[in-house]
Amino acid sequence: MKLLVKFNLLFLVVMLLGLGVSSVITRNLLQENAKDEVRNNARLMMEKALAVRAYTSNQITKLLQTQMKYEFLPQSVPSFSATEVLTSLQGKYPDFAYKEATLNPTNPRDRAVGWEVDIVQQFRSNAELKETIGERETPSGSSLFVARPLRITNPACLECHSSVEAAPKTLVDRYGTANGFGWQLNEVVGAQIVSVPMALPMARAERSFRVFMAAQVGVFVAVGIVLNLMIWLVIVRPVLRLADLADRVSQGDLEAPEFGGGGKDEIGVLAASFSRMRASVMQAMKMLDT
Amino acid sequence: MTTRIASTLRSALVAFALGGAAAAGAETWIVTLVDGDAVIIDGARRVAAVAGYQPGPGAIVDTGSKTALVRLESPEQASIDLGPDTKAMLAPPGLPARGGRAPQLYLLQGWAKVTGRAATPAPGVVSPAFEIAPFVGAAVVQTLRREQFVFAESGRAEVTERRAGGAVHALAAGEFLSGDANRRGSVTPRPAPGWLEKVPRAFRDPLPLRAAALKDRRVEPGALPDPSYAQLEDWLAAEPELRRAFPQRFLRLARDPEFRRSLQKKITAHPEWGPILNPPPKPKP
Repeated sequence: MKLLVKFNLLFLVVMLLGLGVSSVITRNLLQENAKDEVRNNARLMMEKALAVRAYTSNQITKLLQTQMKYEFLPQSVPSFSATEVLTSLQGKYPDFAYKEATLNPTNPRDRAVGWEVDIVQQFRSNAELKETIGERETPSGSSLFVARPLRITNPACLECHSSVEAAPKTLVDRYGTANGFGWQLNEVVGAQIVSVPMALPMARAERSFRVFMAAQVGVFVAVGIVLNLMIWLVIVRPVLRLADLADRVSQGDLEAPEFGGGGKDEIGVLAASFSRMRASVMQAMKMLDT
Repeated sequence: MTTRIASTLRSALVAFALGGAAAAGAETWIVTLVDGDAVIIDGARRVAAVAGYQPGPGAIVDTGSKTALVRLESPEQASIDLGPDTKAMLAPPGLPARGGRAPQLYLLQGWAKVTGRAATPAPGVVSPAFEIAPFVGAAVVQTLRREQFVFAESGRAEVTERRAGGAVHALAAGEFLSGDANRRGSVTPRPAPGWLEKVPRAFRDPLPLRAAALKDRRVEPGALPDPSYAQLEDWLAAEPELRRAFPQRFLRLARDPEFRRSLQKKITAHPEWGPILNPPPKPKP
């Protein structure tokens, strides 16, 4: 088997091994980064929601107290404000979602459904659990959700949610008597759930992975070509020339030219040794003739 | 002659006494907010309402149909808000005090909201059918031609029916009283459907108080032509306690031939003008 074939076989094995290992490592790294990006987006949305709730609670609610004696204004409710603000994002980013999923809400749009009920029950059964992260499939692709419990820690919340008799009359006028009552202090009544799409960041990670791997393969191939060329020029061709000269001398062609490729590398050493051997053979043959 | 002088002196004494009584029960009110058109008839002169103006006792405030809000505040942080199409009188003379305080507002027509803050009670309000004693809280009053309504926005308002044998109602926050001058008022736990929607929007906003910033400002309101009979007609024909001081108050206006003619034409509505329009003949010496 020729030297170059042996070399290329070995090179291919090493290249495939290297590509395999680096692809596994790179892919995991890129996917993990993508998931981190998604988790950070989700947490940012969650913090935005909390900021809007705090702003409403601290600054807006008290400004609307007089109006509330005439007409219940949901804008005074922190969860309504947070939901409205973040829902307005959906106009531009339809796969992002925020919901304060509640088992027994005043506003029907906040009612927990399906998988949201499971999350709320998870928080209700584990008081230590502060946050849960998960993935789910949606019609538009994978979605990551971050959920935090909604626990009633402020007695002021019970002004509207304890009993029909205690609630503001304007609230009852608007929402009726059937929903959103009977809440207890320290009870988990729902969960804040932020959903962010995973498809885009994961697709970006996949694209980056492909580009990276294609570049690696390209580099390997380019290196292989250069190495093949070098081996041919520096080793194989001089050796073949030396072999040809040796054949001619061995067949008595003492007029065969000297090997001209003298250098200081191993081929040069071999060529010098060949020349010395050729001179010795020629000397020996002259001695035999005389 | 002697009879005429005696009569004039008697009228002057009554007016003085009533004016004095009014001044004794009257609180200082300052206009702090005018959103829209509003006119104040202060004494006999008519001026455009402007923030910073301090009308005297008995001043009449008229708002236009597009007026959003006229607010008057007292130094003790009580306030009177008037809505559109409203005719009201500040510190009406001749009306008895309840709970040691004379009523500060007579609502002849339209919308008024009275509010007390901190320890200061809301000013007492009188309308043709009801009287609200000063109380800690806020109430909205609407006077229509045939019906009147009181909504206790906060606090506990004591509302007395002014008809003979009228009941006293203690309205808790959120309760609603409706009625007129001839029948017993009806208290309901919530206002009549749709009534809340008619309450002037400006009554629902917690506007900041401005009296402290305006009280030392000298304000000259824009002078307007003297009030005509048509502009005063509703007041001239109002209940007797209010009308009693009018002949003296608007005497200058009666010199206008048109005004005088109108007074004469409808003398039965305000008979107290009789001696002014038709003074008794001088006794022959």
